[in-house]
Parts: sequence; structure tokens; C-alpha cells
Amino acid sequence: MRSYVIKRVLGVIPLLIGISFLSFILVNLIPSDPAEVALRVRKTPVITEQIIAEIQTEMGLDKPFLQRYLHWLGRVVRLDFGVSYTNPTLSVAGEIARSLPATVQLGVFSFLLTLVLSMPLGFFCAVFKDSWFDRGIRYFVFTASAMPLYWVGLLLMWFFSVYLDLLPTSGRGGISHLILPAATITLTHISTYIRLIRSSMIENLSRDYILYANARGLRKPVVLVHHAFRNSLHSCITAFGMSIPQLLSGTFIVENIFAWPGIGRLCVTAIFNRDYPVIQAYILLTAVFFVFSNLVTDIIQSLSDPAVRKESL
Amino acid sequence: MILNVKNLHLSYPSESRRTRKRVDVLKGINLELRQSECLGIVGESGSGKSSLARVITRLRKPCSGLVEIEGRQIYPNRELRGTAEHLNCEIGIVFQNYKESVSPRLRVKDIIGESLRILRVQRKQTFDRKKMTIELLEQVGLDSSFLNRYPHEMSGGELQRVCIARSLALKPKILVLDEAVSSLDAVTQTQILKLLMKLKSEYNLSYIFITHDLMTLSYICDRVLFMYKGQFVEDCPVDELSELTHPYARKLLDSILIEGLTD
Amino acid sequence: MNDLSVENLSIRCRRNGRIIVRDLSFSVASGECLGILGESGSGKSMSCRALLGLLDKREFEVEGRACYKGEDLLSLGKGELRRIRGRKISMVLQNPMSCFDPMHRMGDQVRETLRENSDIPAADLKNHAVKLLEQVGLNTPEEILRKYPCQLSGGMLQRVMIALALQGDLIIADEPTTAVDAVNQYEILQELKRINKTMIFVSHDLGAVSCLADSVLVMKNGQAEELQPLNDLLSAPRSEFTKELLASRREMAFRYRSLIRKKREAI
Repeated sequence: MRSYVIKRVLGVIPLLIGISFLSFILVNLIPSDPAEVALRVRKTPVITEQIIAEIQTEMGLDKPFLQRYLHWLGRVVRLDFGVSYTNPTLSVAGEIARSLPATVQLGVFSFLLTLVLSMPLGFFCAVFKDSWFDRGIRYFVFTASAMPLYWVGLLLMWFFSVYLDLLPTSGRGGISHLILPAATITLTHISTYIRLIRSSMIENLSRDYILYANARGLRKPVVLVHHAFRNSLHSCITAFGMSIPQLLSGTFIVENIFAWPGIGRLCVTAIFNRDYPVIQAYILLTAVFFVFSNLVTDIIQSLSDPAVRKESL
Repeated sequence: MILNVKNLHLSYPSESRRTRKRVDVLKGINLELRQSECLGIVGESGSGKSSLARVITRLRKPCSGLVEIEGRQIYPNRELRGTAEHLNCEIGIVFQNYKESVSPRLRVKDIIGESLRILRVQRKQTFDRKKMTIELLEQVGLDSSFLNRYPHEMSGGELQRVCIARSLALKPKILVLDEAVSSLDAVTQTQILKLLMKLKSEYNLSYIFITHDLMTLSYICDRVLFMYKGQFVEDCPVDELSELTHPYARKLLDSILIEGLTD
Repeated sequence: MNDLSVENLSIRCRRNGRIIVRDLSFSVASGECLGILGESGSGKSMSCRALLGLLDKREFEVEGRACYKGEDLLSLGKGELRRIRGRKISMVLQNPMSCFDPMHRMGDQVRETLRENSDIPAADLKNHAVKLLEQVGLNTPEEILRKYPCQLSGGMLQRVMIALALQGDLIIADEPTTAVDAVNQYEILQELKRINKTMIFVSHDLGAVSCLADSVLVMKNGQAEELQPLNDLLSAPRSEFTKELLASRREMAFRYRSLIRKKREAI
């Protein structure tokens, strides 16, 4: 078991190098010269060949490609993503550190909300399969997953903030600010979770061990929760883990609708300003997050499986 | 000698990919199949019978060893893929799980038609496909009314007959029967065994009959190999079955339930 | 006296209206073993499940009467039926490898069964579980209870299932020997014979049925073909299906016997 974990962790390294390389060349692929872009962004009035050359030296652009990459990689490992083009006094790392807590808050809260709501809903949909409850939830799920994220966000904002005037429309503050963005993300993601738990439960309920648990005369709640639900959760772990990054990309849009000062918003601003170092850092961080959340779910998955765990005994 | 297997080894990574251990499944298998012989292979579950069947039928590559069909080496082999596939036609396989060895979306005519297409493309033979399919079906005791049926519209016995017809379409010289009658009902089991015996003489086939049931084995086989943990531990003609000395073989002999079945 | 008497049991699938079992009647006397013999799809397993209310009422419609010690099982409520399952009527199922929850240790599953079906105080549950496993010839009960189902062999798991079934007065064994290999099959049959309980033994294997049953119910396509004491069934089968089945099994056994006998005579 331990060797499996070590192997998996080591296996991530080449992947990370590949990702860093990709996000590096992405910025080098843009048609215009980064130095020129940087100058435009800084609103330098007159751009001459000489100034460009100066900036190129300043940014290290005159060095060969590979050297630049290695230099950049060396800094990135120390979490130094350079300075923002728009405002050279701000470091990219500092900007990200400033907006990261907001995104984490929104992401974690939405994820927990999704889990807490989808688990019982999926469970009861499976237990009362084809009942009015199951059908109702299925209609809701169908509608929710058909609506685009930004549409749901605007609808909620219009209804709760403008029409009922109950919740703030935008910004970050107390818990009341969190409700609408989190609800938007939850609403659009919960359908996948409910469907997942429901179908996994239904599959498990038709298994032999459930039949035998019933034949042994166990109480219904024990059979359903202790046996069926635990096994369905186990088979859902991977899918849950895979959807965490999706949740993160959901925050990207939601942050912009609700003016939530998180990483997604930072990135969109950077895109408008052609602030490439920020975009580069965002791409890199998102990719790293994808890789690690996959790694962690894989490890959790195998830790919770007795068939795998026994090998370490 | 129609099939010759020498010192065959097979191992694969342990079930979960999480450890680096390899499991030895076949440990030095030697096997000679004579022309028109029905060779029975018995052993407990997990002894490597099915893995051997897969290696012989080229469904799985062995780690080392030699496999020859009619003196032509099929493993180890560095020839072009095309020739290898041609050899593939000379040995067929029928599986235990008839339900899962056919695609549920194909009709009988397409299931057999797939084999016929191989025959046409690879051996460049021309024939009337429909006529040929009906002939094959008749050979296995079915008729043209089955042509348009789907697997779920047939009983287990009928489906297994289709599987046999599908293998016969390629005109094989050897048929590997991997527990081919084990999951059929008793009456059907006897019928299929009889059919297999009839086909054997008509097509001049040689069989490798893999089973864990000594009763069906004694019914159809000429010679018995006893497999234990990836090796053959005994080899005897079928009428000396009761002389097997290996402890597991003795246990197997003692567990045959024929009480009340003989007078 | 009859422990269980079933009258006109019928099962219908609601979805396609197909009748799975039609007018099945039989009875099991105290201490007797009734064999139910039939091909796959003949409705034998479905009948057993219907008796214990293990069929989904939304999918299957069950009619008839099944009197167990004066109570009609088919008209009992869910809760009452659950208390009978495991405590009075217990089951042994076909696939030992898939009948235990893979996520829980054997000990937990044995204990939860005992807790539900007996009045043993919580502190004694473990000792009782160990004793129970010893009764069915498992030599290392403590070790088995510590393990997960995937770490045990089919034969061992099948024995644990039999041990758990010992709680009941009537055991319904639904193809308990089908999924295990020949040697285990033989040993499981010996074990079932030894525990000597009132039993319904369901199998498609004439050999296994004739090893255990006192009388045999032969089923085909959801209907009873005949119900006779074992010896009468073997010597004078009434239905065409039984005759055919006997003939084909005898043909097979005859060849095997002649091979073995020839050798014995030579010795």
C-alpha cells in the first residue's frame, strides 16, 4: 500500500513538468512580442525599438527559449510567478495569495453544500425509486443541469436580491454574500451528484449481499445505510474527486457574475488586460490542482477498499 | 501430433496493480494433442486451465515456451501479423459463459456471419453466405428459423449451439472447449456433448475439453491431464481415471455424486 | 406435522405480465428435507424468495398461501416477516463470494446477524460467533471473523452462511452448491446433511438433490411437474421431464461408473 502511494506521488512529477512546460509555451505562442505587450499594458506613450530592447533584457526575453523556461521553472518552484504587467509593483504570487482565500471559501462551501444536499436526495431517490419523490427530483435535476451556470446565477440574483431584496447582489462580506454564489454552483452541479448516488445505490441494492442481508432479517435502515449506502459511496469517491476541479471552474464564472473577489475574477481581469504572467500562473495552478485532487481521490479510494488494503496487512 | 506445447510459462501482474508481484499461472506446461483425440483437462478453479486455453488460442501471449500447430510454430513467432491470423482460424474456442461471449445486439446470422467474413477475406474463398450459415446451423441441430433471432430470444443450449457453429465456420482443426457445457442444464448438457461427439467425427476435429466435472469428462474424453497450480501433475487414459494418485484428484473422485443414478 | 405448507403459490411479473410461478403447492414436514429440482429459469429460486417476502412488491405480484406454524407468511406485514427471516426461517444462497458486504469484516456481519436474530447479550456475541463457526467445521474462527469477505474462499464463506442459517428452525438452501467447485460441493452437502435440520434444498443438480432430499418437487417453467419421495422419483418418475432428466444423467453416470468399476475389478 505504501509503495503504491509513493509510486503514485512520484508519477505526478513528470506530469507537473509537462503542465508547467505547456503553460510556459502558451504565453510564448501569442502572436505579439511580450515586451511590446508589457509596454502597451503599462501605457508607455512612445514605444521605440530601444525601449523594447531594454524591456526584453529586463524580462530576460533575449535569452534562448530553454534557458528562459528553466529560469522561469526555477522561480515557479519557489512560488515566484514574476510581476504583473499592469502594475510592476505587484507580484503575481501576492495577487493570487490575496484572492485565493475567497475562491477557497466559495469552493469549499459549495462543495460541502452539494455533498450535504445530494447524499440524502440521491439516497431517497434510490430507496423510493419511481415514486413521486424520485420523479420530482428527476425533473428538477433535468432542468437544473440543462440551465447554464450564468443564467442560473442571474435568475437567482434577480429573484432574491432584486425582487425580494433579501440578499446582497455582489461582493464578499458575511455569510449572506456567500449564499447566492454558492447556491448557483450547487444548483448546477448537484444534479450530477444526485444521479451518481442514485444509480450507484440502485445498482448496489440489486446485489446478492443486499438480498442476503434481507434474508438474514436485518432491519431495513441497517441494510440501506450500513450496507447499500456505504458501498455506493465507495464507488462514488472517484467521481466526486473528478468533479472537484469542475466545481473550481464553476467558480470562475460565478465569481464574475457576483463580483466575488477570487482567483477567477483576477484571471478574467488579467485576460482583458493581457496580463500574461497572471494568466500563466492561473493556468498552472488550476492544472496542479486538477492533478492533486485526482491523486488524493485515488489514494482515498484505494484506502477505503478492503480488497486493496489487505495487501498492506 | 496436431498440437504441441512445450515448457509454456505464463505470469501476469497481481490483480490489483498496486503491488509489483507477478502471479505465475502456468509453470512449464507440456502438452501433446493427437489427431482426432479428445483431451480432457481437469483441475480446481484457479489452477490455470482457462489461461492455458487462452494461450493456445492466441488470445493471450505466453511469457516463454513453444506452441506448434501441425508442426508450424505459432509461438514464439516473429512473422507478419497476417500469417498469424491465418493460423488463428485453425483453432477455435467455445466458452462457458455463452451469454457473454456473443454481442447482445447481433442476430444469429451476423454472429456466424462475422466468422464467415474472416473466411472470405483471409482465405479468399467465395460462397453463398446465407446458404453457408444455414448449413452451419443445421450442423449444430438448429434451423433457418434462428437466422434472425437475437441472443436473448434463445435458450442457453441454443445459444451455445450458435457459439459452436460460429467456431466451426472457420473450419478449425482443433476446438478448445473451455467449460463449454458446465453452465448448461443437465438434459441440455448431454445433448451438447452428443452433438460435440458427432461433429468431431464429421469434421475430423481434435478437442481440448476443459472442465472440473469428472462425469462429463469421462463421457467424451479419451485422455485426461490433471492440472494443479499451473502444472500438469498426472496424465492418463480416461479408463484409468480412478488410478489418479494426486490428493486433489482423489478428493475430486470421491466427491462425484452418483448416488441413486446407477442401479 | 407439517412445518410449512404452501398452497397455490403464484408469482406474476407486473412489468410484462408474465407468470413466473403458477399454482405451486408443497409442504415440508418437521425434520424433513424437501428437494426442489428444476432447470434454470424454472421459478424455484423465485418461489423461495416469495415465501420470505424478499421479492419487490412493486415488481412482482404474489398470490396463494404459505402457512408456517399456523401463520400465513404471504399475508404477514413487513416487520413481522422480517422477524421470521433469519430467526425462524433462514436462508443459504448461491454465490457465497458475493453474498457478504465487501466493505465490512466478517465479524461485523456475523455479529449483526446474531444481534438481530437472538437474545444473546452483546458481550457474548463474539464467543457465540466463534462457537457457531466451529460447528460447521471452520478451524480458525477468530481469524475468519477478522477478515474481509474477499480474503476468504467460496467454500469458507458458504460455511459461514450455513453457520448463520443454524439460527433458524427451517433452512431454505437456494442452490448452495452451484457456485463452488466439486470438492467443496461435496463437503457442503455433507455439512448440510450433518446439521440435520428441516430444510428446503433447491438445486438443478439431480446428484446433489438425491444426496440430501427425502422427497423431491420437480419444477419446470414455473409449474410443479411432480412431487414424490426421492426413492419413488428415482425408480418410477411420473413426468416426461423427470424421465428425460433421469435418462440423461444416468447415461452420463453409467459411462463414469463403468470406467471406475472396470478398474476396481482389475484390482
